[in-house]
Amino acid sequence: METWLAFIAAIISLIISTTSIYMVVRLKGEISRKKGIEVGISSKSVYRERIKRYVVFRVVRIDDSPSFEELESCLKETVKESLGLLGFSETSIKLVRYKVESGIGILRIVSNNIYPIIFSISRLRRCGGKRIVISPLKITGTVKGAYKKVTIYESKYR
Amino acid sequence: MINNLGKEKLISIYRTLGYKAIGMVGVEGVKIVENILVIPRIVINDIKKFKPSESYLVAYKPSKKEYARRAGKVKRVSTILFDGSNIELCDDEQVEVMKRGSAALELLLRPLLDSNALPKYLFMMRKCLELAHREGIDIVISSGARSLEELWPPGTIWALGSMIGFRDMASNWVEVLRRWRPGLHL
Repeated sequence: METWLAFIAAIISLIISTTSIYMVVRLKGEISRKKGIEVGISSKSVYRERIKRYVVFRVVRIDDSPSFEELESCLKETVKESLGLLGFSETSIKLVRYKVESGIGILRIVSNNIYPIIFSISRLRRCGGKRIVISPLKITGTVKGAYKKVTIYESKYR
Repeated sequence: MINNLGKEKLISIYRTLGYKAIGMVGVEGVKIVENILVIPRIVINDIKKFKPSESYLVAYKPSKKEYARRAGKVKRVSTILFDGSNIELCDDEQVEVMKRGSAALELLLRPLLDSNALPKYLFMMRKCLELAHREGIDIVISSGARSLEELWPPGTIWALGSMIGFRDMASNWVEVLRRWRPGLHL
Protein backbone atom coordinates (compact mmCIF):
# COMPACT_ATOMS: atom_id res chain seq x y z
CA MET A 1 0.00 0.00 0.00
CA GLU A 2 2.77 2.44 0.95
CA THR A 3 4.73 1.58 -2.18
CA TRP A 4 1.67 2.25 -4.29
CA LEU A 5 1.13 5.63 -2.64
CA ALA A 6 4.80 6.51 -3.05
CA PHE A 7 4.55 5.61 -6.76
CA ILE A 8 1.50 7.90 -7.26
CA ALA A 9 3.24 10.72 -5.35
CA ALA A 10 6.31 10.31 -7.52
CA ILE A 11 4.22 10.48 -10.73
CA ILE A 12 2.34 13.58 -9.50
CA SER A 13 5.57 15.34 -8.58
CA LEU A 14 7.02 14.40 -11.99
CA ILE A 15 3.97 15.88 -13.75
CA ILE A 16 4.13 19.05 -11.67
CA SER A 17 7.84 19.54 -12.29
CA THR A 18 7.46 18.88 -16.07
CA THR A 19 4.56 21.34 -16.26
CA SER A 20 6.46 24.00 -14.34
CA ILE A 21 9.54 23.54 -16.55
CA TYR A 22 7.31 23.84 -19.64
CA MET A 23 5.65 26.99 -18.26
CA VAL A 24 8.99 28.59 -17.41
CA VAL A 25 10.35 27.88 -20.91
CA ARG A 26 7.17 29.18 -22.56
CA LEU A 27 7.11 32.33 -20.44
CA LYS A 28 10.76 33.03 -21.16
CA GLY A 29 10.09 32.67 -24.89
CA GLU A 30 7.14 35.08 -24.72
CA ILE A 31 9.16 37.67 -22.79
CA SER A 32 12.11 37.56 -25.19
CA ARG A 33 9.74 37.79 -28.22
CA LYS A 34 8.01 40.87 -26.74
CA LYS A 35 11.36 42.45 -26.00
CA GLY A 36 12.40 41.86 -29.59
CA ILE A 37 9.27 43.57 -30.92
CA GLU A 38 9.74 46.52 -28.56
CA VAL A 39 13.38 46.91 -29.61
CA GLY A 40 12.33 46.68 -33.27
CA ILE A 41 9.66 49.37 -32.89
CA SER A 42 11.84 51.73 -30.90
CA SER A 43 14.81 51.39 -33.27
CA LYS A 44 12.55 52.06 -36.25
CA SER A 45 10.94 55.10 -34.72
CA VAL A 46 14.13 56.62 -33.34
CA TYR A 47 16.59 55.85 -36.10
CA ARG A 48 16.06 55.52 -39.81
CA GLU A 49 19.13 54.68 -41.77
CA ARG A 50 20.65 57.61 -43.63
CA ILE A 51 21.48 56.71 -47.17
CA LYS A 52 23.87 58.36 -49.60
CA ARG A 53 22.40 59.26 -52.96
CA TYR A 54 23.67 61.21 -55.95
CA VAL A 55 21.17 63.34 -57.83
CA VAL A 56 22.04 64.16 -61.43
CA PHE A 57 20.34 67.43 -62.34
CA ARG A 58 20.26 70.00 -65.07
CA VAL A 59 20.18 73.73 -64.61
CA VAL A 60 17.92 75.18 -67.27
CA ARG A 61 18.99 78.79 -67.55
CA ILE A 62 16.43 81.40 -68.45
CA ASP A 63 18.93 84.24 -68.89
CA ASP A 64 22.36 83.37 -67.43
CA SER A 65 24.03 80.48 -65.55
CA PRO A 66 25.29 80.69 -61.98
CA SER A 67 28.86 79.68 -61.13
CA PHE A 68 29.74 76.52 -59.15
CA GLU A 69 30.15 78.43 -55.90
CA GLU A 70 26.97 80.46 -56.42
CA LEU A 71 24.95 77.32 -57.16
CA GLU A 72 26.29 75.38 -54.18
CA SER A 73 25.52 78.27 -51.85
CA CYS A 74 22.02 78.69 -53.34
CA LEU A 75 21.24 74.97 -53.05
CA LYS A 76 22.30 74.92 -49.41
CA GLU A 77 20.30 78.06 -48.67
CA THR A 78 17.13 76.76 -50.30
CA VAL A 79 17.36 73.40 -48.48
CA LYS A 80 17.97 75.27 -45.23
CA GLU A 81 14.93 77.43 -45.88
CA SER A 82 12.70 74.47 -46.73
CA LEU A 83 13.79 71.99 -44.07
CA GLY A 84 14.91 74.35 -41.35
CA LEU A 85 18.28 74.34 -39.60
CA LEU A 86 17.76 71.00 -37.88
CA GLY A 87 16.57 69.31 -41.06
CA PHE A 88 19.48 70.81 -42.97
CA SER A 89 21.97 69.47 -40.43
CA GLU A 90 20.71 65.95 -41.21
CA THR A 91 21.14 66.21 -44.96
CA SER A 92 24.88 66.65 -45.66
CA ILE A 93 24.37 67.95 -49.17
CA LYS A 94 27.36 68.69 -51.37
CA LEU A 95 27.65 69.83 -54.94
CA VAL A 96 30.02 67.24 -56.36
CA ARG A 97 30.16 68.47 -59.93
CA TYR A 98 28.64 71.21 -62.07
CA LYS A 99 29.59 72.48 -65.49
CA VAL A 100 28.27 75.88 -66.48
CA GLU A 101 28.39 75.07 -70.23
CA SER A 102 26.10 72.03 -70.14
CA GLY A 103 24.28 72.87 -66.92
CA ILE A 104 24.57 69.24 -65.78
CA GLY A 105 25.56 68.68 -62.18
CA ILE A 106 25.74 66.07 -59.43
CA LEU A 107 24.49 66.71 -55.93
CA ARG A 108 25.34 64.35 -53.08
CA ILE A 109 22.63 63.88 -50.47
CA VAL A 110 23.02 61.87 -47.28
CA SER A 111 19.61 61.60 -45.70
CA ASN A 112 16.90 59.23 -44.53
CA ASN A 113 14.39 60.88 -46.88
CA ILE A 114 15.74 62.37 -50.09
CA TYR A 115 12.48 63.46 -51.74
CA PRO A 116 11.86 66.63 -49.68
CA ILE A 117 15.43 67.66 -50.49
CA ILE A 118 14.98 67.07 -54.22
CA PHE A 119 11.71 68.95 -54.10
CA SER A 120 13.25 71.85 -52.22
CA ILE A 121 16.19 72.23 -54.64
CA SER A 122 13.69 72.19 -57.51
CA ARG A 123 11.96 75.20 -55.98
CA LEU A 124 15.06 77.27 -56.57
CA ARG A 125 14.28 79.88 -59.22
CA ARG A 126 16.84 82.60 -58.64
CA CYS A 127 20.52 82.17 -57.89
CA GLY A 128 22.95 85.07 -57.78
CA GLY A 129 20.39 87.26 -59.53
CA LYS A 130 20.09 84.74 -62.39
CA ARG A 131 16.81 83.08 -63.27
CA ILE A 132 17.10 79.29 -63.41
CA VAL A 133 14.98 76.13 -63.25
CA ILE A 134 16.58 73.02 -61.76
CA SER A 135 15.42 69.78 -63.31
CA PRO A 136 16.29 66.55 -61.42
CA LEU A 137 17.16 63.88 -63.99
CA LYS A 138 18.34 60.75 -62.19
CA ILE A 139 19.07 59.41 -58.72
CA THR A 140 21.97 56.98 -58.34
CA GLY A 141 23.54 55.15 -55.43
CA THR A 142 27.17 55.62 -56.47
CA VAL A 143 29.20 58.53 -57.72
CA LYS A 144 30.47 56.31 -60.56
CA GLY A 145 26.90 55.70 -61.71
CA ALA A 146 26.19 59.42 -61.50
CA TYR A 147 29.19 60.26 -63.69
CA LYS A 148 28.03 57.66 -66.24
CA LYS A 149 24.64 59.37 -66.41
CA VAL A 150 26.32 62.77 -66.71
CA THR A 151 28.23 61.55 -69.77
CA ILE A 152 24.99 60.32 -71.35
CA TYR A 153 23.10 63.55 -70.61
CA GLU A 154 25.96 65.77 -71.76
CA SER A 155 26.04 64.06 -75.13
CA LYS A 156 22.23 64.27 -75.31
CA TYR A 157 21.92 67.95 -74.43
CA ARG A 158 24.98 69.22 -76.33
CA MET B 1 -0.96 75.54 -67.99
CA ILE B 2 0.63 78.71 -69.25
CA ASN B 3 -0.66 81.90 -70.72
CA ASN B 4 0.48 83.71 -73.85
CA LEU B 5 3.58 85.46 -72.45
CA GLY B 6 6.45 84.61 -74.83
CA LYS B 7 4.92 81.40 -76.16
CA GLU B 8 7.90 80.39 -78.30
CA LYS B 9 10.36 80.80 -75.45
CA LEU B 10 8.05 78.91 -73.10
CA ILE B 11 7.65 76.02 -75.53
CA SER B 12 11.40 75.86 -76.06
CA ILE B 13 11.99 75.68 -72.30
CA TYR B 14 9.28 73.05 -71.91
CA ARG B 15 11.08 70.99 -74.56
CA THR B 16 14.37 71.45 -72.72
CA LEU B 17 12.73 70.27 -69.52
CA GLY B 18 11.59 67.09 -71.27
CA TYR B 19 7.84 67.59 -71.75
CA LYS B 20 6.10 66.03 -74.73
CA ALA B 21 2.68 67.62 -74.32
CA ILE B 22 1.58 70.83 -72.64
CA GLY B 23 -1.67 72.65 -72.01
CA MET B 24 -1.66 76.31 -72.96
CA VAL B 25 -4.13 79.12 -72.54
CA GLY B 26 -4.57 81.43 -75.53
CA VAL B 27 -3.94 79.01 -78.39
CA GLU B 28 -6.41 77.77 -80.98
CA GLY B 29 -6.67 74.08 -81.78
CA VAL B 30 -4.39 71.16 -81.02
CA LYS B 31 -1.00 71.57 -82.73
CA ILE B 32 2.54 70.32 -82.63
CA VAL B 33 5.20 72.97 -82.06
CA GLU B 34 8.88 71.94 -81.83
CA ASN B 35 7.84 68.29 -81.32
CA ILE B 36 5.58 69.28 -78.42
CA LEU B 37 1.88 68.64 -78.52
CA VAL B 38 0.18 71.89 -77.54
CA ILE B 39 -3.33 71.50 -76.18
CA PRO B 40 -5.59 74.56 -76.03
CA ARG B 41 -6.89 75.20 -72.57
CA ILE B 42 -9.37 77.54 -70.99
CA VAL B 43 -10.07 78.29 -67.34
CA ILE B 44 -13.59 79.33 -66.47
CA ASN B 45 -14.54 81.02 -63.25
CA ASP B 46 -18.18 81.77 -63.91
CA ILE B 47 -20.18 78.75 -64.92
CA LYS B 48 -23.11 80.89 -66.13
CA LYS B 49 -21.02 82.51 -68.86
CA PHE B 50 -19.53 79.25 -70.04
CA LYS B 51 -20.59 77.87 -73.39
CA PRO B 52 -19.62 74.20 -73.73
CA SER B 53 -16.95 73.81 -76.40
CA GLU B 54 -15.01 70.79 -77.58
CA SER B 55 -12.13 72.81 -78.94
CA TYR B 56 -10.67 73.54 -75.51
CA LEU B 57 -9.68 71.38 -72.58
CA VAL B 58 -11.76 73.14 -69.99
CA ALA B 59 -10.79 73.66 -66.38
CA TYR B 60 -13.39 75.02 -64.00
CA LYS B 61 -12.07 77.01 -61.07
CA PRO B 62 -14.83 77.51 -58.53
CA SER B 63 -14.54 80.57 -56.35
CA LYS B 64 -17.32 79.82 -53.87
CA LYS B 65 -18.56 76.72 -52.10
CA GLU B 66 -21.95 76.70 -53.84
CA TYR B 67 -20.30 76.94 -57.27
CA ALA B 68 -17.85 74.19 -56.38
CA ARG B 69 -20.66 71.87 -55.32
CA ARG B 70 -22.33 72.30 -58.70
CA ALA B 71 -19.12 71.45 -60.54
CA GLY B 72 -19.94 67.77 -60.91
CA LYS B 73 -23.01 68.61 -62.98
CA VAL B 74 -21.30 70.92 -65.49
CA LYS B 75 -20.92 69.30 -68.89
CA ARG B 76 -17.73 69.29 -70.97
CA VAL B 77 -15.53 70.34 -68.08
CA SER B 78 -12.44 68.14 -67.95
CA THR B 79 -10.98 69.24 -64.65
CA ILE B 80 -12.01 71.07 -61.51
CA LEU B 81 -9.12 73.33 -60.66
CA PHE B 82 -7.90 74.23 -57.20
CA ASP B 83 -5.07 76.60 -56.35
CA GLY B 84 -4.02 78.73 -53.43
CA SER B 85 -7.18 80.83 -53.56
CA ASN B 86 -9.75 78.00 -53.43
CA ILE B 87 -7.97 74.88 -52.11
CA GLU B 88 -10.04 75.15 -48.93
CA LEU B 89 -13.11 74.19 -50.96
CA CYS B 90 -11.67 70.74 -51.56
CA ASP B 91 -13.22 68.76 -48.71
CA ASP B 92 -15.21 65.54 -48.16
CA GLU B 93 -18.41 66.97 -49.59
CA GLN B 94 -16.67 68.35 -52.68
CA VAL B 95 -14.98 65.04 -53.41
CA GLU B 96 -18.31 63.26 -52.97
CA VAL B 97 -19.88 65.62 -55.55
CA MET B 98 -16.98 65.13 -57.97
CA LYS B 99 -17.26 61.37 -57.66
CA ARG B 100 -20.65 61.56 -59.41
CA GLY B 101 -19.17 63.41 -62.42
CA SER B 102 -16.30 62.58 -64.74
CA ALA B 103 -14.13 65.64 -64.15
CA ALA B 104 -10.66 65.13 -62.72
CA LEU B 105 -9.18 67.01 -59.80
CA GLU B 106 -6.52 69.47 -60.95
CA LEU B 107 -4.11 71.02 -58.50
CA LEU B 108 -1.70 73.81 -59.34
CA LEU B 109 1.92 73.84 -58.21
CA ARG B 110 2.36 77.59 -58.45
CA PRO B 111 1.61 78.30 -54.76
CA LEU B 112 4.45 75.97 -53.78
CA LEU B 113 6.95 78.52 -55.08
CA ASP B 114 5.78 81.02 -52.49
CA SER B 115 7.54 80.25 -49.22
CA ASN B 116 4.78 81.90 -47.19
CA ALA B 117 1.97 80.00 -48.89
CA LEU B 118 3.79 76.64 -49.13
CA PRO B 119 3.16 75.12 -45.67
CA LYS B 120 -0.60 75.64 -45.68
CA TYR B 121 -1.02 74.81 -49.37
CA LEU B 122 1.02 71.61 -49.11
CA PHE B 123 -1.04 70.51 -46.10
CA MET B 124 -4.34 71.27 -47.87
CA MET B 125 -3.09 69.71 -51.08
CA ARG B 126 -2.16 66.46 -49.36
CA LYS B 127 -5.53 66.35 -47.60
CA CYS B 128 -7.38 66.96 -50.87
CA LEU B 129 -5.31 64.33 -52.68
CA GLU B 130 -5.99 61.74 -49.98
CA LEU B 131 -9.73 62.36 -50.19
CA ALA B 132 -9.76 62.19 -53.99
CA HIS B 133 -7.59 59.09 -54.07
CA ARG B 134 -9.88 57.34 -51.58
CA GLU B 135 -12.90 58.04 -53.79
CA GLY B 136 -11.11 57.02 -57.01
CA ILE B 137 -11.12 60.46 -58.65
CA ASP B 138 -8.40 61.13 -61.25
CA ILE B 139 -5.79 63.51 -59.91
CA VAL B 140 -3.77 65.74 -62.21
CA ILE B 141 -1.08 68.26 -61.42
CA SER B 142 -0.19 71.31 -63.46
CA SER B 143 2.26 74.15 -63.04
CA GLY B 144 -0.17 77.02 -63.53
CA ALA B 145 2.84 78.99 -64.78
CA ARG B 146 2.35 82.61 -65.79
CA SER B 147 6.03 83.25 -66.37
CA LEU B 148 9.18 81.29 -67.22
CA GLU B 149 10.19 81.10 -63.60
CA GLU B 150 7.02 79.32 -62.64
CA LEU B 151 7.66 76.27 -64.80
CA TRP B 152 8.12 72.94 -63.06
CA PRO B 153 10.28 70.13 -64.43
CA PRO B 154 8.75 66.61 -64.60
CA GLY B 155 11.35 65.25 -62.14
CA THR B 156 10.09 67.66 -59.49
CA ILE B 157 6.51 66.56 -59.90
CA TRP B 158 7.69 62.98 -59.45
CA ALA B 159 9.70 63.99 -56.33
CA LEU B 160 6.67 65.81 -54.94
CA GLY B 161 4.49 62.76 -55.62
CA SER B 162 6.99 60.51 -53.84
CA MET B 163 7.19 62.93 -50.94
CA ILE B 164 3.46 63.04 -50.34
CA GLY B 165 2.76 59.46 -51.36
CA PHE B 166 1.12 59.87 -54.80
CA ARG B 167 3.62 58.75 -57.40
CA ASP B 168 1.21 58.22 -60.31
CA MET B 169 -0.17 61.78 -60.43
CA ALA B 170 1.57 62.68 -63.70
CA SER B 171 0.25 59.72 -65.70
CA ASN B 172 -3.40 60.65 -65.09
CA TRP B 173 -3.19 63.46 -67.66
CA VAL B 174 -3.22 60.84 -70.42
CA GLU B 175 -6.56 59.52 -69.16
CA VAL B 176 -8.04 63.03 -69.01
CA LEU B 177 -6.86 63.82 -72.55
CA ARG B 178 -8.19 60.54 -73.92
CA ARG B 179 -11.56 61.25 -72.35
CA TRP B 180 -11.56 64.77 -73.82
CA ARG B 181 -10.53 63.72 -77.32
CA PRO B 182 -10.46 59.93 -77.84
CA GLY B 183 -8.69 60.13 -81.23
CA LEU B 184 -5.76 62.17 -79.89
CA HIS B 185 -2.44 60.49 -80.55
CA LEU B 186 -0.46 60.48 -77.31
